[in-house]
Amino acid sequence: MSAADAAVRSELLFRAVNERIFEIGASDAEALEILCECGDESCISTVAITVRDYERLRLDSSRFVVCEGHELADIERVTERTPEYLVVEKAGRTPEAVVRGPADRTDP
Amino acid sequence: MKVMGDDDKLMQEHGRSVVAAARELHARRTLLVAEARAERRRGRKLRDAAVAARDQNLDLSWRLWSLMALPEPPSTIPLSWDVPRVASERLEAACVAAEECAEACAAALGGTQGEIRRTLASISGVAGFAADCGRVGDPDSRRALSLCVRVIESNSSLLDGLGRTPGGALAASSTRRCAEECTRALAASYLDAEV
Repeated sequence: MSAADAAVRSELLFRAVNERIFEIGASDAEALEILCECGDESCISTVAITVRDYERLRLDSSRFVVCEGHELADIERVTERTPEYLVVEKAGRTPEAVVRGPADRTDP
Repeated sequence: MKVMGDDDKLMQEHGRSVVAAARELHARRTLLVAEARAERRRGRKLRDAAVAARDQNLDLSWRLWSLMALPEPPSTIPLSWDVPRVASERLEAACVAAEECAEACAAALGGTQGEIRRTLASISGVAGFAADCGRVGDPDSRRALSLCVRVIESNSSLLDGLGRTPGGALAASSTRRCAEECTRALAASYLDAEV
């Protein structure tokens, strides 16, 4: 498995976990603490994000929320920058697994 | 025939100098793009090498633990590890513990707010996800278990504080049990792969 494939696999895993965190924590809270959706499997950084922003970001399955400095410049581009987190989008050809979203996670 | 005036000559010279500058800039840009591509290729190679080195390091840590040179097994597994999946009995125990942890943390949400509340929601989500992955035999089961252990361990001091509150004792103890069972399941999977 190449580093890029491993990164995508980790990002999808983190995103799937964040979907669960959203389901549990979003009902009566304004903010969530989600996992950084970067490509480093050992990362356990968290990101504070409002429920509304998270919902908005999840509308596009090619976007991931990462901590500052966790973006992969060669396969991602930063589309949004906030004091708490960055929103990155897959640059170039988006892997199929990313487009399908976390519900259909498979090995890239 | 129209004779070119000084202004026209000036304009023409200016035009030429602009074209020359544009050519020069284009050549510089081409060079920079080529350099950037080379750097990206170099970056990818370095990252591949870093991932391989980390994998090797993790694999060695697991070996050391199996030789009893390390007291605790590592909480992360190397990317290169694949089947066999987690030993079924241990996996079952880890799934049960993770489910209980997810439920206890979700139940404790009501009496909390702020950082503790957000952390409980995170742990509940991670543990619930790990339990589901284990139950359906997801290829990412071990990664999910590993992530669950790391998230719980990284919040250990906050969970210690929660354990001293009346409503949080159950949640705190279930997170500890979850981390232990998930660690055992990972260790069992390693030993199974060794046999």
